[in-house]
Amino acid sequence: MTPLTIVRGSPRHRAIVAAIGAVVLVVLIVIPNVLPSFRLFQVTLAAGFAIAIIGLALITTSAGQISLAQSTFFAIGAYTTAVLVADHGWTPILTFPVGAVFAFMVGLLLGLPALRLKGLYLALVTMAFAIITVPLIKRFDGLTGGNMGKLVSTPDPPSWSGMSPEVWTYAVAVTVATVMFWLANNIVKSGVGRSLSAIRHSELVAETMGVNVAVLKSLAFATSAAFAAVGGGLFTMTVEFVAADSFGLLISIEFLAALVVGGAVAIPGAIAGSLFIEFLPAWASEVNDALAGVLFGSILILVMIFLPDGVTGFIKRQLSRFVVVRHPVVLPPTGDRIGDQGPVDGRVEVEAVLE
Amino acid sequence: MDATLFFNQVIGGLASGAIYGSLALALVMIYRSTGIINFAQGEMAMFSTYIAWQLTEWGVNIGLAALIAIGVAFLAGTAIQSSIIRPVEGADHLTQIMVTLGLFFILNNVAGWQWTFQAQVVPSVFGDEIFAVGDVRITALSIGTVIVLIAEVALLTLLLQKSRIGLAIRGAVDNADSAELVGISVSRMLMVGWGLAAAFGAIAGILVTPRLFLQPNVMFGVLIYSFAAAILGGLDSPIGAIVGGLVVGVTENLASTYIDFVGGDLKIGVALALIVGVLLIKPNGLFGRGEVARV
Repeated sequence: MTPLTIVRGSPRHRAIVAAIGAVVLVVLIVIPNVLPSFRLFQVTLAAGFAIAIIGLALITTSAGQISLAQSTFFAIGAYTTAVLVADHGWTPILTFPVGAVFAFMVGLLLGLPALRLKGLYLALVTMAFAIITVPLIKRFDGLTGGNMGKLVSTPDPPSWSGMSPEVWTYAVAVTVATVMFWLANNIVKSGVGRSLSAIRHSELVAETMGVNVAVLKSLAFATSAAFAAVGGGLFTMTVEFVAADSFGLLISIEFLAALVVGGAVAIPGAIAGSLFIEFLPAWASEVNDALAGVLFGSILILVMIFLPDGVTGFIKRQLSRFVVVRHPVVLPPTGDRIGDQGPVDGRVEVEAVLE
Repeated sequence: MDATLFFNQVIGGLASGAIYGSLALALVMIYRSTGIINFAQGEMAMFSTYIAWQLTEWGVNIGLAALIAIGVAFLAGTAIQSSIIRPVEGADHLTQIMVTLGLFFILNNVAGWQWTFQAQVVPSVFGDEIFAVGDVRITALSIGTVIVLIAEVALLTLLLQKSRIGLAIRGAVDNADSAELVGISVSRMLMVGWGLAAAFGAIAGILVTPRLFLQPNVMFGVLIYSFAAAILGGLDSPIGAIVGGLVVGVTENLASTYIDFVGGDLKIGVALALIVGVLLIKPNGLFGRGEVARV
C-alpha cells in the first residue's frame, strides 16, 4: 500500500494540524474537570517535568550530549522560586524567568569547561555536578531550609480567573509548558538546531562546516539548563514545598529515562516521558514500592533493546506506513510559477531527481 | 601534626582504597572489553554480597559463602552480558548507559524486596582481629583486603598476558573483526569479561560490607569513589584502577580529617572533584591510552 502523502504547509496539512491542536485543547480543558484533585496534581507535576525533559532533548537528542546535571538546574529553578515567593512575596510566575536566567548563567559557567568532553566523560562529569548539588543545598540551609525543607505557600489565584488554586496552578503549568515547547520547537527548527544536529553526527565535520562547536554546545547546554529551571519553578509552585533530597541524581536519571522512553519525536516524546516517570512509579508503588523500581528498570531496558527510538519514534514509524508528511518542493524561479495549482509533470520530475 | 592520627588515616585510606580499586578494576574490565561504563557495577556487587550473607544466615561458613557468591556473580555477569548488553553493543552511549541504569533499578529494588532495606551485618572473611604497631591500629580485614587486591591484579595479569583465553580476550577487544576471522568467539570473550568484572565486584562488596553494613544502597557511594579511581588511573588501565583506588582512598580520608570545609557531609565531594578535575585536565588519567579516532 502506498502511504498517503501530505505536503507540509498545504491546506490539508494545516487542517490536520488544526484538528490535532483542537483535540489537545479539548483534552486540556476536560482534564481538570474530570480528574480527582490528586491526579490533577500529578498531571501538573508532569507538565513541569516535561519542560525539563524538552530542555534535555535540546542538548541530548539534538546535539548528542548526555547530561546528568539536569537535576542541578531543576533545583536552581525550584529554589529560586521558593526563595523569591516564600521570603520576598513574589508571584510564582514572575520568578520563572529569574530562575531561567540564573540557571542559564550557571549552565554556561559549568558548560564551558565540561563540554570540551563528550559521550561517557561528559555523562560522568555532569553526574558529579548532580551528586554534589544535594549536599550543597544542605550546606546553605539558611537560604534553602536544607534537610528540613522550605514551605512555599503560593498566593491565591487572581479573582478574575474564577479558578480553584489547583486548577489555576494546572492552567499556569500547561500555559508555561506550551510556551516552552514552542520555544524549543523553534530552536530545533532553526539554523542553530541544524548545527546542533551536525555536532551530534560528527563534531569534526561540524567544525569543518563552520560551526563553532565549543560555543554552540555550551549555549545549548545553558539553554537546556534554563528549561530545567522553569520546570523546577513550576515544581515548587505545584508542590509548595522544597527539600534538598528531592533534587538528587535520581531526578536526572528519571529525566533521561523519560527522554529515551518518550522517544525521538521531541514534544510528544517529552509529554509521554513525563507522564511515564510521574504515573508509573505512583501506580506501581500502590502495590509495592520495590515493584515501582523493578518495573521502571525493566521498561527502560526493554525500550532500549526493542524500541531504540522510544515510544513516539515507534508510533511515528508505524504511522509512516500510512501517512507521510513531506516538505514542499521548492523550485528555482523560472518565471513560470507552479504554486498551488497541483502537481504538473515538471514538478514530478524534479521530485524524482531530488529523491 | 599528630603522627598517629595521620598514619591511622592513611592506613584506613589504603584499606578503603583497595576496595575502590577492586570495584574500579571491574569498571575497567567492562569499559575495555565493551566500551560501556557500567552504572550497575555497584548494585551487582551489592546483590552478590546479599547472596553471601544469605548463605551465612543459612549456616554456611563465610569463606565458603564468599566463594560461592563470587562464582554466582561470575555466571550472573555472563548472563547479563548475553541477555541485555549484547543487543545494545553497537548502540550509542546513551542507550548503553540507560540499559545499565535500568539494571541498577532492577537489582536495587529486587534486593530491597527480597531482603528489606534494613542494614545487615556481614561477617568479615578475615576475622575481627586488630593488630597494633605502636599506636597505629590495623585490622585483619584491612590487611586481607590489600592482599586480595594484589592477588586480583596478579591473577588478572596472568590470565590476560599468559593464558590462551587471555590472548583471545585481548584479541577480541583489540580488533573484534580480525579476532572472529582467526576463530575467536568475540561474544563469548565479552561474556567472560563481564563475568570477571562481576566477580571482582562481588569481592569488593564482600570486603567492604563488614565495615559499611549491608543494605541495598550501600554500594552507590562506593561506586562513585570507584569511578573516581578508574578515571584517575585511566578508564582503560587495570594498573591505573588499583593506583587510582589507593590514591582516592587516602585522599578522601586525609581531606575529611584535615580540611574543615570537607567534613563528613562533603566527603564525597573529594571523589567528585577528582572526577571533574582529572577529566578536564587529563581525560585519559594517569595510565590510560589516548583515544584515536578515524574520521
